[in-house]
Amino acid sequence: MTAKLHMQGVTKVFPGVKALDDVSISVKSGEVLGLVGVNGAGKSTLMNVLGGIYRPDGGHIEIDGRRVDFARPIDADAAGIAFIHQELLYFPSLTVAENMFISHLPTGKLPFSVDKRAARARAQASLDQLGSGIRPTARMESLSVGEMQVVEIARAVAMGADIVIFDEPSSSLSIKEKEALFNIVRKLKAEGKAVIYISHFLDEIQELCDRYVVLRNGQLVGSGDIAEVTHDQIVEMIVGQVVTERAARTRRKGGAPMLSLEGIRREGILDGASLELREGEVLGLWGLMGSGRTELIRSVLGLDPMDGGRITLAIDGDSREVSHDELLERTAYVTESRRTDGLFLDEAIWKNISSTTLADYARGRMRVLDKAAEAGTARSMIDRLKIMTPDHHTQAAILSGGNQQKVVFAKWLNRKPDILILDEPTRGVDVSSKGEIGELVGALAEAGTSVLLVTSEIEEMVALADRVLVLRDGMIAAEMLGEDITETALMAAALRTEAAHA
Amino acid sequence: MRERLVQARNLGLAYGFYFLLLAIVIVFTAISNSFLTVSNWTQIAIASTFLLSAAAGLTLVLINGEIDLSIGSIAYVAATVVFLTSDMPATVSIVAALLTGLAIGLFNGWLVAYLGMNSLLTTLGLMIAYRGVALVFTEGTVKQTGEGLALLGSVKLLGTIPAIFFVALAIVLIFQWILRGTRLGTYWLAIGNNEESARKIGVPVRRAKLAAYALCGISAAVSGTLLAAYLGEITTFTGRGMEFQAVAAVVIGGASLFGGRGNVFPGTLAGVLLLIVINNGLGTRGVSPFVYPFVAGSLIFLAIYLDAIKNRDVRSVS
Ligand SMILES: Nc1ncnc2c1ncn2[C@@H]1O[C@H](COP(=O)(O)OP(=O)(O)OP(=O)(O)O)[C@@H](O)[C@H]1O
Ligand SMILES: [Mg+2]
Repeated sequence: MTAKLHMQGVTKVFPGVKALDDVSISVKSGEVLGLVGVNGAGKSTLMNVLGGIYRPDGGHIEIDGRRVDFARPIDADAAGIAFIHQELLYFPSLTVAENMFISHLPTGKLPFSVDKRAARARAQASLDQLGSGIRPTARMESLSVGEMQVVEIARAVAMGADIVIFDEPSSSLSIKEKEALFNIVRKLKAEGKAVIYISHFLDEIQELCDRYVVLRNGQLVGSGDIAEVTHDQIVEMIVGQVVTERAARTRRKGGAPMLSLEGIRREGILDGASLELREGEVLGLWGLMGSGRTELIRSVLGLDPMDGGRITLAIDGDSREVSHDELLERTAYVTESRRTDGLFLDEAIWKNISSTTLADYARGRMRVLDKAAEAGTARSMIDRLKIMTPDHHTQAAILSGGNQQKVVFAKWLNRKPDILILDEPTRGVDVSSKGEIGELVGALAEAGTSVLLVTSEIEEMVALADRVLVLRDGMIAAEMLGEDITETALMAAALRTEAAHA
Repeated sequence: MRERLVQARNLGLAYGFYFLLLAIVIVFTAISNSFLTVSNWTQIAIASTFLLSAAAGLTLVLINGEIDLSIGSIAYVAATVVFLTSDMPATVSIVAALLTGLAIGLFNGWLVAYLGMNSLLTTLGLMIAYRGVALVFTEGTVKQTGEGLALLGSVKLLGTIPAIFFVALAIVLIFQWILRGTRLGTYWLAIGNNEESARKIGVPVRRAKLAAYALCGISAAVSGTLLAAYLGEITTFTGRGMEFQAVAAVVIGGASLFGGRGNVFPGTLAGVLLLIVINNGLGTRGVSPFVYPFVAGSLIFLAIYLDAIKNRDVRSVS
């Protein structure tokens, strides 16, 4: 059988980077192709070429053996390609059905009119096909991220797309939603669609995909059948060097109490959560989305309302009750949502990195900023975190997703805080950088920083946390120490929550 | 408790101005016995007509996340065309005036949608320019309309209500249908929600915006034509300051200055009525006319403030 889709010798050059260098891939119908590589390897760029968003500088695309040329995204649409973007495209105030058919609204009886009933019925049909319970009349803004993604997939199904691209679809989903997503991908495969699946989670790739393609620095460095490689071999191809096993580490004990929270309440969300964070430890907060992990942090920092509870902080050796602002002053908060509140997208990298500590660069009586010093810090951070960019003047917006997250991290590290709160710090970050960020976090804890870590990635929790608190329904339900922090134990704790919710 | 407060607040944000309109009607009815009379409500209908017909089109532009401040001047230009065609039959005057509105609307839309000019500054400048052009033709004086048109302007329906009010109402209903019932309307809402996403997904952003401006131009021209027909003359006051009243009415009616949300019916209709009823009610109580700008201004401020709050909520949720 000939390939459904073939991309031949695709090259794409951006000012300063060759994002793609002579890359060829092909996918058959009924096959799932896994696309992997470090941040900035060129995965999204390759898919943007396929989706008609970028024109390639070299090479071409063939569908069913015929050459095609996409000048605009709708051309790719018309050729049966559906693209589920890394950053979802949606219209909050429109309904699910309108979101799905915005570019192909069915015509009603009157001229120019929209047959809303037909749109609803078609939306319902493809949502049903995916086994989803989302209502076509619901407003998009009332859905969770996972549900929005299902809507986008349903859209692809309804359009009759036979090539479906997923760009890191699982990175913001809960465990349950991930399972639903996997089932959908399997269904698409069974229906004979050609699927391209990008992810940094190799276990997902191994579970879902038939074949894999590895990109590094815009070049194709490996491809083949998933069944014929091991996890470690793929990692080696991605990173470009042999990975050494990290030695098992001992979990830190932590020193004097740094921050203590007592009976934090928020109507309907937090129900009297208490915890103590010590000096020089990494404390993990584990629980499902909706268990109150992120909400606890936001309420304590004063970003969301807090209806009751005490916050005590050790300041220069004295413990006393503090306000949200006093806490914020001593805290760095790395969030999961880099696009909305982590970055100044239109600004250069160096400005982003120094933005949290501008006072440190102000010189003289006029408090003029020392740009050379700012740039110096930025350059050293770029080295330390291996941020892939032509230089520190590059605009944050054009970095790849994972490299943007590293800039957010750099910005807060630069502040040298007493307390570092990490909420999904490595979302969308590749395997090797995950390791580097992990080492940095460890080094910070060694140096006495108190770290509070929220993550939904099991391995990350096991690798980083010295102590884990399990949250359930807005309360601390259990504590895990030392040897007890294992993948199975965490999984069991999460599943117990899931069962309690069901 | 908090849940309930939030619910009450959202309800207030969504329907607050309808309650306010109702409350104001009740208060004026209670304190003035000339308020709830047929002749007074006929006055309210007449006063609403001109603002309503222009605000209907502006609603569509605001939903796109753009603005058109030249609508008052378009109304004046349309009225001037009515004067220039005053020796011809009324239908010719009407068609010529509306086509002029359409042409100006298309021009505004072309500048904003195709050349990417900032709509606020562009239409602010054009507001002055269009009025200037009209002044050249009217020489800044009062002019007569043709007799046929003046006759049409005095037709009454259902007893005392002038037909022109129903023209404005028809525009409101037609625009509402376009907004919620057609492909074009869905495009506008999508563009107002997120223009970049709309473009990526294949919405013809430029054409849709152009259409919104075209309809807005026609709607402003209708306003000017109706005023000329009703008065039987064209005054230099035609449409002056109308843009701000219209923006206020649209935002009070629930459309967002940030785009993506709003309705012509009942939203903008209610916004217009609120402004007109307050003006009228203060008048029937014999309150100094200088109080009105203060009251209306405060209301506009309130509406825009509430719009900002609503949008902040939406952003922090997503
Ligand atoms: N519009 C653009 N202008 C300039 N450079 C760009 C642009 N888009 C991407 N790049 C660069 O191209 C390279 C490849 O980026 P791409 O987004 O394809 O990476 P990726 O493999 O998807 O990474 P990630 O896993 O982090 O999402 C990066 O160095 C990025 O900075
Ligand atoms: Mg990417």
